[in-house]
Amino acid sequence: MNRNNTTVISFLRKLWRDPTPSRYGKSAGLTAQIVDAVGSLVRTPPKKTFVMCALALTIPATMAIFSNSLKTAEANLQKNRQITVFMDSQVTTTDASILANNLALNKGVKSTTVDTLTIQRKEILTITLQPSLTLNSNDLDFMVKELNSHPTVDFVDADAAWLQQNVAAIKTTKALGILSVVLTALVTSLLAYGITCTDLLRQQTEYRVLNQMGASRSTMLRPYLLRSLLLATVAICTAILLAWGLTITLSFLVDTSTYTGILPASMPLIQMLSLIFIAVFSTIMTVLLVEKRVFSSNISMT
Amino acid sequence: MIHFHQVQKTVDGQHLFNDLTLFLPKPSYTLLSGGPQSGKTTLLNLIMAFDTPDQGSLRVDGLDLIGIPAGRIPFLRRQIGLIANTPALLEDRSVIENISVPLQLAGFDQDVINERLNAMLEFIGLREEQHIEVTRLTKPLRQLVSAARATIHKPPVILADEPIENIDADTADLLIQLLDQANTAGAAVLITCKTFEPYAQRVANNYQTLTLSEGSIKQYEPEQHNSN
Repeated sequence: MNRNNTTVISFLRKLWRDPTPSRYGKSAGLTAQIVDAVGSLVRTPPKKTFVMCALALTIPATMAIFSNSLKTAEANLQKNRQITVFMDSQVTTTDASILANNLALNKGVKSTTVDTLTIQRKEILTITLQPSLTLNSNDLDFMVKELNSHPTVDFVDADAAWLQQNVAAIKTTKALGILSVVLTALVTSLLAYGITCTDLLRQQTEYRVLNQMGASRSTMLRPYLLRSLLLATVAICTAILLAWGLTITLSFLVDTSTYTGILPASMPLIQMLSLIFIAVFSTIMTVLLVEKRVFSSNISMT
Repeated sequence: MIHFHQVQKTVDGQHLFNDLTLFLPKPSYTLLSGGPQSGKTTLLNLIMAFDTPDQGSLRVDGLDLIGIPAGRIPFLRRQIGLIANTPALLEDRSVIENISVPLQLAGFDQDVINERLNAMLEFIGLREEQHIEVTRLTKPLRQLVSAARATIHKPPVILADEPIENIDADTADLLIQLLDQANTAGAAVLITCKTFEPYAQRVANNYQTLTLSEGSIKQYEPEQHNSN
């Protein structure tokens, strides 16, 4: 084990500091260039710059978690949007199921569930209806009247006013969710652009020196692209961790009984990968679009 | 090798070159003096294709620089070793990494790179300091590293813009020796300077002295200096 560690360390050191193998020109291998990019990032930028990048990217990472919270809130609102039909005590489960299935055929009803409630030691069959968002108040009133007049139904628990407010809340939450996703993507792209531009500007001198020595554009571009990609990827991953830590901390500070199911929201893997992809894609586009402007090809010795 | 023919150039409204004609064959060793703002650095910028003449023609190693495609310019610059007045090094790299860059760009085999690096570091006396970052070196040593980098790949043209200004005598001697060696190997060496004396004391090979004045090159006492 020790010998393997020593071999790995000496290999990395060799790639890190020695000019062999080549880092520039046609013979430069991708592995050597990646290790060189890592070494370059360790040497520059200063740690403060990296910390600022990670902190800045915490904003979109937190927004991503916030959009998840909004999704969870929307799901909760959807779940709480229901009408409970209490069946008569003589009604069997089969009859209740038949009624539930018939109700499910109504386009104003999203789903139906047959349950048993125990009230004062009596078991009462209930049908829980989830009305769809398109069900307006007139149709709702009509449905409640029809149910109340059904021979097997004892009582219908439906607060029409609350249900309408619930629709508005769901729609608002959905809109906010979409907006936060769009803003998250936009903010991530802009921050990745800013970070990359700042880093490219810092590398201007090195770029000019290589240009003076006759390095071709592709020779110069690859190390900077690798470096920028590494910086953006590491910064966004750190930001995701920071944002996640922030929400965990928030859940200890805020009374979660009020916000149960909303805080802390998780960040699914697909969302993390999406954020990383946006940051990486924005970085690549920035390098390709900005490179010529930042690094003037007509440089002089003065 | 380097051929300026009736070149005209204006920079910031100042007419620098007026039908400037200059031919530097390979090998050759030329000291070019000129006053401030006479156009010495501009001349070197033109050779390096950092700038283009307003009129006239300019050929370097057979390549016409007027209208040269942008994709060919890196190939041109790899044929030229440049020692700027202020050393332009890769700041976060070590001595050996800086010196090795032209060899890597030229596509030399790793064995050749190692061999030349060892020889060069031995010659300039920086073998012990090869892994030190260049930012930690003094200015004279940085200039020496710049000269080593400019000559290690044996380019056919070497340009030096006031290379030994403000460095100590020993380092200046070593730097000029590098240029002498390159010239002996067949390079066309062009050094711009304010005065000839510091170079006349050091250059071992035959050289010619020219003056850039009033937009044209004048032979400064067209004599051949022989150190022996």
